[in-house]
Amino acid sequence: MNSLLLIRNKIIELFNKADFVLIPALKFLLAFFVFTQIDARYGYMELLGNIFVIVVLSLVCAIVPVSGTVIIGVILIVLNCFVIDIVVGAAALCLFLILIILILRFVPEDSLAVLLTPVAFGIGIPSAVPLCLGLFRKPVSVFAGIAGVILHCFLDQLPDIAVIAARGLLSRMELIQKILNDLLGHNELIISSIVFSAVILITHLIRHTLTKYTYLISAAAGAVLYLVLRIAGSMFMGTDPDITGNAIGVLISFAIVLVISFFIYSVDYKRTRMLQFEDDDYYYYVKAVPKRRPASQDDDEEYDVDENEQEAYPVDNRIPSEDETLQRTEYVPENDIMGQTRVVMRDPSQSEFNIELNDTPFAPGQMADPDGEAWKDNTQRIE
Amino acid sequence: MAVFEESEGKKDIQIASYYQRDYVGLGLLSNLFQITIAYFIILAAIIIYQLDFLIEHFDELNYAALAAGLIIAWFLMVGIYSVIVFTIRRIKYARAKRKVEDYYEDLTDLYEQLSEEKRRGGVNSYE
Repeated sequence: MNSLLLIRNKIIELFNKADFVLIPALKFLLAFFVFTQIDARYGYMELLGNIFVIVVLSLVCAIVPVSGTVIIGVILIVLNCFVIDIVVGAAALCLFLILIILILRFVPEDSLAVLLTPVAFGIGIPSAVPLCLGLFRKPVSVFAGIAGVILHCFLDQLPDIAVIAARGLLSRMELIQKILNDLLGHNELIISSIVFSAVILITHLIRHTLTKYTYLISAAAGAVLYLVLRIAGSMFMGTDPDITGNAIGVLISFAIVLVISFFIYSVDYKRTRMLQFEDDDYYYYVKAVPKRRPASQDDDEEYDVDENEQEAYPVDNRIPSEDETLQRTEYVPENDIMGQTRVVMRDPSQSEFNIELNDTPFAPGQMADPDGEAWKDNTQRIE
Repeated sequence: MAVFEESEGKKDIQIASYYQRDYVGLGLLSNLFQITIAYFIILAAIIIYQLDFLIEHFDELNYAALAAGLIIAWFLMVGIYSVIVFTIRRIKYARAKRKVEDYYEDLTDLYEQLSEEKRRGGVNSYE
């Protein structure tokens, strides 16, 4: 367990230093995965299935918020439906409009879960969605889960609809009636909605009731509940319960959820922020780096600061006396990925200049002594 | 404070710039239009789904009762969602207002601190 915590701390250190690269990379991978799955299952338009188009779209999603991935995913699905037939595309558009107006405008943060639900069903791990929603979101995310199930039930019938439309077996009116009939009569619609709702609520309840190993127990309880309800529901509807397939899917989902919750719940991760503000005299460009506990084998416990010990990175909250005219920006003397600590200021009465506070990083403890050698060597002062 | 301004504060400051009545009212107005659009989409879907039945019983339908039912259904749908939107908007407004008030309090403290430093002549020189 200690080695896992050390590995986790190393990864978090790396993340803190390089999050401006890692987060876009993760967003790119997520978007790439979602778009390739959409193309694999519902890709009827060759242009949209081109790998270069998918890569370009994924690159766009890497720099926009996650909602950009959702919007582009929705557009891809609708365009593919329009290729099948204009009424199928219109039906997809109307379905998305209804889901957005009636459900998703109240839970916009869960729109990614709605898009991932048909993807999860497609790769055999549908239980990952309600487990994640239950562990990391709120009870109201139940509606997002139901919206995802409705979307899955609609998209699940697309291959049959595509064949019927291609052969011209039905008129357009009959095609719409078939779409509606198959959607409302889909045996997954009721069962999956009930299962998703139950798993999300129970997982969330357990997560916020227990105090120790909560994410582990709540994830396990949610996984077992999903399996039991899924098998019971299938038997009730008279369909094949596929116990083996469901069990494997639940196990994989449980592992995925554990990995995610290990990083989310075991750490208090705050991102580095680049901030800009001004007063009457100066513009300030500040890099705010969150303070971190020192990496150690006991890092999973509370970090107790001995009152008699000097903090490693003290914050000077004193009002400067008349003799003290030093003014400095508060920050943690951790090296950024370039190995520098730097503040840029501009005095309107002088030409623009930079102050390089430090070419070599402060060693731990040097910040604590403003009169020390490190400060004298490394601080340029403006008279 | 800068972090608040850059992230959640953007939304909260925008929300707090409205009067509560206006913020909630705008939400209800937007909700009215959106629910009406959704209502007509659902109605069109029901008509298409039941088209055979409607054509078969075209002469036997009580159109007055049907129209009354449709209007009542519209009112119900708008009513339910209006209550939801009203509640959510009021809660959002109260939270945003509280956060923005805290932010302005901190800003005032900072301004007073800066004024004190200026008075002592400590701002423009660094030693």
